[in-house]
Amino acid sequence: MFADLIGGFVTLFGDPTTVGFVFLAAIVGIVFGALPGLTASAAIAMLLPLSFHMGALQALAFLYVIGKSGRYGGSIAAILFNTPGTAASAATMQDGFPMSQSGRSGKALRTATIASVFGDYFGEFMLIFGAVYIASFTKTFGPTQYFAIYVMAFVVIGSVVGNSILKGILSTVFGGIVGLVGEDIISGQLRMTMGIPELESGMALVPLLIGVFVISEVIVQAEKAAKFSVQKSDPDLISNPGDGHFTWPEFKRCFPIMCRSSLIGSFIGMMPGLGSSVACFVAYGEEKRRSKTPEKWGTGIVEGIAAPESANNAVSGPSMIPLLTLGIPGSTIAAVLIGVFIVHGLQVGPQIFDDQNQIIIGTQVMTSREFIFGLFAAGLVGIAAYGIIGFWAGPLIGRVIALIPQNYLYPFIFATAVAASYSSRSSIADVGFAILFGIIGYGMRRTNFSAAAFIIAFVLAGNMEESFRQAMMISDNGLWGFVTEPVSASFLAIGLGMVLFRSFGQARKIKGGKN
Amino acid sequence: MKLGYKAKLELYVAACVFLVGVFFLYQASKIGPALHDVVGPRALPLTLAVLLLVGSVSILARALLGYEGKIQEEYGFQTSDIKRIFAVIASGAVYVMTFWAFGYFVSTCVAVGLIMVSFGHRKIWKILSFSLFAGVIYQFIFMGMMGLYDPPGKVADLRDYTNWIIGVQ
Repeated sequence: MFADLIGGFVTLFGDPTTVGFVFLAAIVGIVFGALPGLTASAAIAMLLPLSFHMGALQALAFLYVIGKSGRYGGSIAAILFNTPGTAASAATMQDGFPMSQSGRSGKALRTATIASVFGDYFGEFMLIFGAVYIASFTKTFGPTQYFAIYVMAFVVIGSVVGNSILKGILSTVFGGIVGLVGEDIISGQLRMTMGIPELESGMALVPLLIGVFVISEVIVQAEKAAKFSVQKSDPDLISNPGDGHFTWPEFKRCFPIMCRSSLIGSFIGMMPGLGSSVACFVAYGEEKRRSKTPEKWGTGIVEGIAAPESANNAVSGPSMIPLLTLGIPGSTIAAVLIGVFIVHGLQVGPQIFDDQNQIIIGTQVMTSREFIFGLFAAGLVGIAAYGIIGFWAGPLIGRVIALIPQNYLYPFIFATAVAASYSSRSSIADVGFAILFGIIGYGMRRTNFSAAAFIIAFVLAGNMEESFRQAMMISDNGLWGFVTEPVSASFLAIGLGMVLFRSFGQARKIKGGKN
Repeated sequence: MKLGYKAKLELYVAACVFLVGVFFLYQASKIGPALHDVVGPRALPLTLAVLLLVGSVSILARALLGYEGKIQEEYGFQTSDIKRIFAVIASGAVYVMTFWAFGYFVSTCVAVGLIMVSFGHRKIWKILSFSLFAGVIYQFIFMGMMGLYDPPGKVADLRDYTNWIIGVQ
């Protein structure tokens, strides 16, 4: 394994352009993450078309590192502006902003940087060692098992991703049906294209992503433009971060907290659908509960930043485990990456760790295992890159963002979003689809539907259908084949169990609210 | 029966989901049946469309029986600014139409101008200068550097006037 990892570094550093893209991604991710309202997913959506012009490793490393640094960047907005740049940093605000108000924004930002880097490395090593191990089991799965896994993923993601199980599952169903628009891969028949030629090859991922994540956010920000202002610390405190040292005794105090929170984050990251926003609150709550001085939490202590920041960044690596071992994206970022793998002709799943599986990347011939360890190496370098940039330039980035007027920023985001929609297939219809899904995405946000579940299901739908039809072709007893095969039955039972568990919890909550 | 805001909105949500379900059910029913395979190309689309219909009925029932739950933060349209929502959507729609009619450069300038108005800008010189600046920059990056296809406008082909931006004679 270590030899593979060293090989990964050789692959990565063999192409200095890829290393350059990793550093660029670290900067882009931090800036986007730090902009209130914009998330790493939005950054990836807008930059996805650009990645089509890159090599496979360059593109994947670029987007993967944006996902990591974007999660970290959210902490800058949380600490300085009391607005989480990303949902993953919502818990960081509770202690970060009070620290900032008391003139310790430098210390708060550096605590966030160290905790994020710690958590991210923890999660990345979990991914590297965990994925290879799990992939050795899942390699033997056939279409029957895969269909059951897809069903489980649909149900689990739908039921855990939002406040309402029913709407979460409906979001996956909607994403699934939109994902089936276009030519049927087995019979070649056109399906649900409504006579629109652009839909014959299916709905493109880029306009969909831009619609639900970027255009809907622009609508929300336009609404807020009239009545909303970000609550900032005193401008003097932002430009003068004050006591900026995260001291050795503080680090020693935070070390066990970061270890436990990283473990929580990694575990949550492995579950499809659960993401950083859940991890940060679970870790914050758990550490507050364990603390001997819980009354100090929320008043501005470094432990209150270390816990959520290490947890939310520890999610990043393990959230790739379902993707690399089963071909199921566990998060929106993983869903985008699956699209990039496919664009570059790479099949995601356990076979990617096969050291006999030869692939051609540009002019280079390598095994898919060498390629994937190159991506892991890029992740490790990317964490160091955003850590270094954030540690030294975090306060500066915060200062610059505080200067950007929102009423200029969002017109720029809108123009970039529509241009990016066009650039994915050079199709004006795709811009129309981005606007349409922007409206739908806005409606979904306002009525508790889940955009993340919608996107993940959209990406999975084609593979799910293919597995289903293949499984039915080889099955001797029709649909019963899914129940009588032990592995597939287990996955279906997990899905059912999760829905029942969440349903009882929600029913109790509603009953409690009524009483 | 007196319904609260959330229950009322949930009824509209149920109606929207139902309409989406009916739309996809109609689309899926037009797909041809399986000829040689055990499962044809319309099985899954039909199933998903039916699930949407079932889901809409569940939302409806939940709202009518009073199990819609509490209003969460950012739920609903009570604080929505309809004018601004329409302004953003209109900017997008105008972008699509001007792109079709006059090509990429003009559509970018017009859309940036409109979205600036949506974000509260009112000074004409600011809007015009920022729009033109954005048009040049985007033309240079997307058509020049990324080499995307710059289609002629159906009403007027203005590429002769914008090609200098990307260095084409």
